[in-house]
Amino acid sequence: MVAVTVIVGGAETREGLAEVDFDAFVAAHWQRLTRTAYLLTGDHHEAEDLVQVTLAKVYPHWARIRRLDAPNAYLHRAMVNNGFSRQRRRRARQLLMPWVPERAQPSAMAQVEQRSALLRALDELPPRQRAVVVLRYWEDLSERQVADVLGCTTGNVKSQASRGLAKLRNHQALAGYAASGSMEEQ
Amino acid sequence: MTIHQDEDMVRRALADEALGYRPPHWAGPAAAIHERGARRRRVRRAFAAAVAVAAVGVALAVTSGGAQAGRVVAASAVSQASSTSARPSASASVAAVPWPAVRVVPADRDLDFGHQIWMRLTAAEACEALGPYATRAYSCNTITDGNQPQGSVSAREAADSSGTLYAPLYLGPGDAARMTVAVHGRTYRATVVTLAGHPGYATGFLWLPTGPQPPEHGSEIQITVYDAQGMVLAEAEVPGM
Repeated sequence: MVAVTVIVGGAETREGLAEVDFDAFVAAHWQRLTRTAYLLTGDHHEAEDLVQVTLAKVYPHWARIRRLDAPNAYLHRAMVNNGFSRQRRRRARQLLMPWVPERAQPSAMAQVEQRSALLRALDELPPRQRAVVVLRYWEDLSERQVADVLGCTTGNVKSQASRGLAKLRNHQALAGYAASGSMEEQ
Repeated sequence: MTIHQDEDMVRRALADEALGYRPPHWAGPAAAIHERGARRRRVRRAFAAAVAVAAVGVALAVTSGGAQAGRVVAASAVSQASSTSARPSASASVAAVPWPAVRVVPADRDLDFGHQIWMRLTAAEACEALGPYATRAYSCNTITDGNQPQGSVSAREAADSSGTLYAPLYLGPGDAARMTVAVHGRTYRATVVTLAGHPGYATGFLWLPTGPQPPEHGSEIQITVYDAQGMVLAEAEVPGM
């Protein structure tokens, strides 16, 4: 009986420590993760919800995940995969619904107006290409790390990044950056 | 333009966009994440326990040669797991549906919550509207004028031909994490909406589609606000529309 009590107490303490550790880890990475989710989803509500759902999924397994070499990479992978799943579900819902979701025209127009040009440019990329661009050029992950997160080869990351860059290069959203780059060269 | 210049251009554009967005402070959604995570852990443990019980049952059935007994134990274990996982907290009548995540929102922005539900929150007032974007008219409640006492919840309602919006407003020192609205004898979970960086009030929304005429005795609306631990912060019973 005594042994059982000690083990249970130990487990509770371990959980308590893991919780403190989880809070500290997330507090340090929260802003970065949420901004990454924002670039991936293009919507700040969606981004905050995506990060919250991902962290809630990670939290029960934190005692194991914290011992990994790169818990951050695990978190990225979980978040990106969650994002893909949500996108697929949303698309399926739209396909399965017997009517087109009613949306007031001015509302949609206003929302489009409010969205930044860059987010609109990112919207034009396929989901995996967008993830590669965001992870590679915002998170500054290496090709190897991006490949690990997306579960693909580095060759695939290279080609997706190259295609993504080609699409963004001539997009008007980046025209200002191209012009300032040319100015700096002169 | 070289590939490196392209990469640099995209890096700068992404950084400008990402840094222009200011996420809410981690302390805001922390309670909701812990609550969601703890619920997942409880479900996982209940499932593991059910699997263990089922395995023992099957083993017993095999050793005793009684396949019938094994099926009964396994079935009871599965039903035990589903009932355990479906009852994470306080209110039994709403236990079957997961609690919606708390939405931490930026100040002074038009927020679209679907069903043509709009909200706009500031440190001084909480506004909600129901209707198309072009014709929406916000109805605002002041947070700071003292009309609503601290530690209380009030009910705001708006309706159109398709349904009714219930938007409770809680004022007080507690951190509201859950809200329930009991209408016509049934209890529903509302989505809590709080303003980033301004604790001291929380609002929420619940959309119910128009149904058959409610019974006469069911016109009262009961609103309850809980914190993340399930403690009641405030409750109110108000006549419905």
